[in-house]
Amino acid sequence: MGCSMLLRAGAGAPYIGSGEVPDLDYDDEGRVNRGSLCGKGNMALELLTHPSRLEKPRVRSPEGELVRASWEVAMEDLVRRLRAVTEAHGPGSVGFLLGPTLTNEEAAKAAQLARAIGTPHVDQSQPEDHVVLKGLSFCGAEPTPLTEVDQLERAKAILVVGDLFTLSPCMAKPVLQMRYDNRQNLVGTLGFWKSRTFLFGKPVLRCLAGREAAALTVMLHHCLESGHAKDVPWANEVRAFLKGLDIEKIERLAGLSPSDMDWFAGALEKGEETAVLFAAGFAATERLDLAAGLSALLAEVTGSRYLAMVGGANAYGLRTTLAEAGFPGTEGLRSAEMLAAAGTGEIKALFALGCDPVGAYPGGVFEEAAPKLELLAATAPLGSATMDAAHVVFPTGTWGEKTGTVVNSFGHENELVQVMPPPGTARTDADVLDLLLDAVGGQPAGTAPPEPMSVPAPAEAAAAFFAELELYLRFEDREDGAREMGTHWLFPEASPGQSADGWLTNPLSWPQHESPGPGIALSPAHARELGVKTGDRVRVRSRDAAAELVVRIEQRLVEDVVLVAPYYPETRRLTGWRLDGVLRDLDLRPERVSVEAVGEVAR
Amino acid sequence: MSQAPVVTKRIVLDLDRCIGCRACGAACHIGHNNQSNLVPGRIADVAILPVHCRHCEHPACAEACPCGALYKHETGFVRRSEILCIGCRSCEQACPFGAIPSEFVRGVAPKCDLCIDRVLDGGIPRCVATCTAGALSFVDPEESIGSPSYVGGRIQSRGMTRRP
Ligand code: SF4
Ligand code: SF4
Repeated sequence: MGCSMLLRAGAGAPYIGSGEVPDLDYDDEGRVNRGSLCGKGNMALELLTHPSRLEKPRVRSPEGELVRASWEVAMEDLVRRLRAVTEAHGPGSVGFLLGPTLTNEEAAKAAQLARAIGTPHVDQSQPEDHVVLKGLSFCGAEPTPLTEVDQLERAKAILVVGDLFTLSPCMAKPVLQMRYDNRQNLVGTLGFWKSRTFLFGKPVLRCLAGREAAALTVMLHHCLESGHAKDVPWANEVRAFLKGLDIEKIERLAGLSPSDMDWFAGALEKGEETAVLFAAGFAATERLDLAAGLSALLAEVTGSRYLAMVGGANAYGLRTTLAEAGFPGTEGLRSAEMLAAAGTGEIKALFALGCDPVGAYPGGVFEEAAPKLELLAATAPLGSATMDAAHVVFPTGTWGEKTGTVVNSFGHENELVQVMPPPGTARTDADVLDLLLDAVGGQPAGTAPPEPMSVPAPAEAAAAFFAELELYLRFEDREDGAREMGTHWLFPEASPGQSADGWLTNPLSWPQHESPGPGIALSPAHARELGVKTGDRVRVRSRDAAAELVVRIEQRLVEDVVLVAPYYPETRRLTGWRLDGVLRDLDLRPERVSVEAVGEVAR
Repeated sequence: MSQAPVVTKRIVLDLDRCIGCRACGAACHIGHNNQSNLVPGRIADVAILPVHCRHCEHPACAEACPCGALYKHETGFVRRSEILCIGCRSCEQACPFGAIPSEFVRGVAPKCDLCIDRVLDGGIPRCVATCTAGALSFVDPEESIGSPSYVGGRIQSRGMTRRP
């Protein structure tokens, strides 16, 4: 969420050794985290001292090997390849993806470089953010944002959509503080399985697997009908839209009844402060975009403070910095579209700055597209799948090794201070961008600034949003409740050590040791039916992939769902996430899979 | 050399608050040369809680250790010598709380040192500092009697609390 931490150089604990070894301290003044840090935050220290930190640039040799090179050679190679691409295919065939560890200043430099080259395609790297943000910008809601954690403590009712405590463990402290220390407060969680947040929710709002968008429609309807709605400009239109729906059927298909909302309505009735937190990240719901938009509408109509958890710590600053520079403009491709365009050959050169689209892109779709690129350039502190596929790689510094500003999801600006230099010859992303700016400076470039971000007129956007919603709520593509025997829905499993940008933490030792690994979680009933127990192997088949995975029985899981952590080469194709060819957007719906026991060997 | 002070504070887990994020394990891990001294305790596959060393008054682990690798230090901490430990797992068997992790790193028993480097400087252990839910605290069991989270002697005997 953008927590703060303190790194001290040369202050290593006696266990770590002496010398220029950094130590990590917990920042009690942190405005969001108040001293705490999640598992991933703690890993910042290991990242700094990791034995496989990249220290030298690498270039792809004519034989196809990735070999170490000096900065001069690597930069020359990059500029030569970039020139070849822009001359043959035009500057519009170049794209930039910016990872969450870039500072605002680095994002501004990337925008400057893109402009010098003459390409409109610059975006932040996390494709699922793109889906959430689209839902938020199209739905037409403008809820009051949550800007301080104190506001959460004051709230008498908090609605959490999704698994907040896994996505942003740093939010657990303020939420639980109010839950336990001020006993009138209620934290309602909406979800379908007893996730980490669900276990702490009171009351729990259980919907059918993945049906958060339908459940939120029921809630929105209930709020608008029950007279607790604030006077918002769009209320009547939305009321009319909801009137046209078969709400009873939606209630049934969502598995949620309006009375489930009484606790929230109670707080509204008393005129108390309320909040809505959207944390259904990483595709853990059937329609991420619709669920996000509906949660924002619900927040506005109930006058609740609102926060949607998206992306890495700096995603907010990155987005606003790019938006100020006009990216991605009318012509510009968004992250998901850019990766799709690499597959179709429209994008020929891609800069992956501080991100790992090959390794972290849902469904492994980009893995197939990457070899079609004429230039894939990466900057990273550690090796990644993108590095393995890249033509040129520059080693870069991370937290503690660079200076700059980042803005977190709450909109707070945080200063980064350099306490130690990057290892070996590694530099910062800012340095890489400066060198590139120097090199391409002489090129004849399409210098006109891009048209500002194209946002459809509010009415038009909202119309599109509600048309999508209406289509979804017909549930035409699925049967009423009953599902084929042996057929289950696969949902992605989040874990404390890893997230969508698993590349950052994957190579580190603690997540490797603590994360669920490329296994599969089954409900007890499902395991009984298959005759398997924890540690056995099962074969999982989805539309276009199959894998043999180790079973873990998850008592908290509902029967028709299996969970798989999607950040591993073995598992990422199972999710079935793909780019919708027509919409050129991410299709993040859960995938139907069949699971069968693998015959016992010894018997 | 001045005598090290006796530290009477211990780590206490509030069972109602722990969300099982294992940040405490991560903090321990990075602070102790990539070796977590906290045992991830699984409760019927539903919850994961950290099981941490109580630094017992009469440590069963030390009694079980055939090499004298585990001993009660003057600070009140139960310490382990990395050189003397032969990795025989007697302490793992002996500890009534299951606080010695079963994964031995570099052939020796991982053992909580209560982040002595920080605590003797007036700091708190890493796991307590990092806890995302405010579930871990570093308190004097005697002093916490009467505090809202104290339930009849439980802190002392179990190193855990739960609200009535
Ligand atoms: S390891 Fe177990 S027996 Fe030894 S001091 Fe810690 S809690 Fe007591
Ligand atoms: S950091 Fe706190 S909340 Fe997380 S597992 Fe440890 S004790 Fe539980």
